Amino acid sequence: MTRWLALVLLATPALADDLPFDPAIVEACFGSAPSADCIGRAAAACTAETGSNVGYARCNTAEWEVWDAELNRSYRALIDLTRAEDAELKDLGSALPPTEPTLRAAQRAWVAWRDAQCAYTRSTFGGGTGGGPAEAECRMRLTAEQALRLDAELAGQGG
Amino acid sequence: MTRVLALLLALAAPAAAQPADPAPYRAAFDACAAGEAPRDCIGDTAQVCMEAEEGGYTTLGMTGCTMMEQGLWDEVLNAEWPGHRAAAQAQDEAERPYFDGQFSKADERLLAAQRAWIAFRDADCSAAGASWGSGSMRHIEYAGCSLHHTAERVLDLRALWARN
Repeated sequence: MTRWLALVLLATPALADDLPFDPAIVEACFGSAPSADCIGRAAAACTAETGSNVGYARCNTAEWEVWDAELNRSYRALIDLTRAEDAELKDLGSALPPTEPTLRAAQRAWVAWRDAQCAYTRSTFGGGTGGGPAEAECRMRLTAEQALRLDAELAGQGG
Repeated sequence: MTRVLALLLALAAPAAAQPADPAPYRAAFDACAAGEAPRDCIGDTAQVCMEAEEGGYTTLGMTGCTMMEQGLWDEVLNAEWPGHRAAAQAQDEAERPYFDGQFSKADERLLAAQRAWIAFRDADCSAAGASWGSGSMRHIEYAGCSLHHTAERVLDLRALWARN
């Protein structure tokens, strides 16, 4: 029994030691056609064991971390791909403005929107204790949706 | 006469795609947008329009039909907006007697979130359009992107208060 527990701990080194969170549930959602049903599944399994608002917030933050890493990966891959295309067009003598800056501007605008939207979600709870956990869930969900959108974009561009 | 013709032709250039007239499509759209599963019908109105309109599947036709449906969702967003403001303000008022009113921020944050959403939608759709270079696909892409963002926004704003 103790050895089993040790294995579980080894399998999730980056996450809080006592959180029953399984990143593999999130990773199973990557790369496929955007399947919104996947979002929140890992956090829900985690919350089912922890219970409580605090557990809910921590489980959602744990899932957010996995999606955020995936978003960063696809964003960087898209930027690389776009930069290569921009360079190719320039070599061909194209007068088109490069696409990379529009992608960067869109991602900056997305970050600002995510933060504003989740701050709003929190404020709909007033001073209630549900606000913090709801903000964590919002940030996880919007990050996941953006990661899946960029994954789909990348797949569409053959990346 | 020649100048008028030249001007009219210039106005009809592809960059100036106009939304199709929504009148024939409004009833079906409204029934769906107010129905049980509005998410399932995003894009349906534009599709029906492309099939019905003459030249509906040309670049201009597709862009015009998509802009038309985007406009219908935008109307819903605007029509429901005062209700979202009122719900946020009611929440703020209910909360004001407690904690010195420091948590009465829903209305202020709703406005900030909406401004940030508009900036995101426009930046995101510019990027989506730019990936098509100067090809005419970029108009269709921009319009489709804007349609999806606007429809999703209507449904997201509804969901937040439906929870309470």
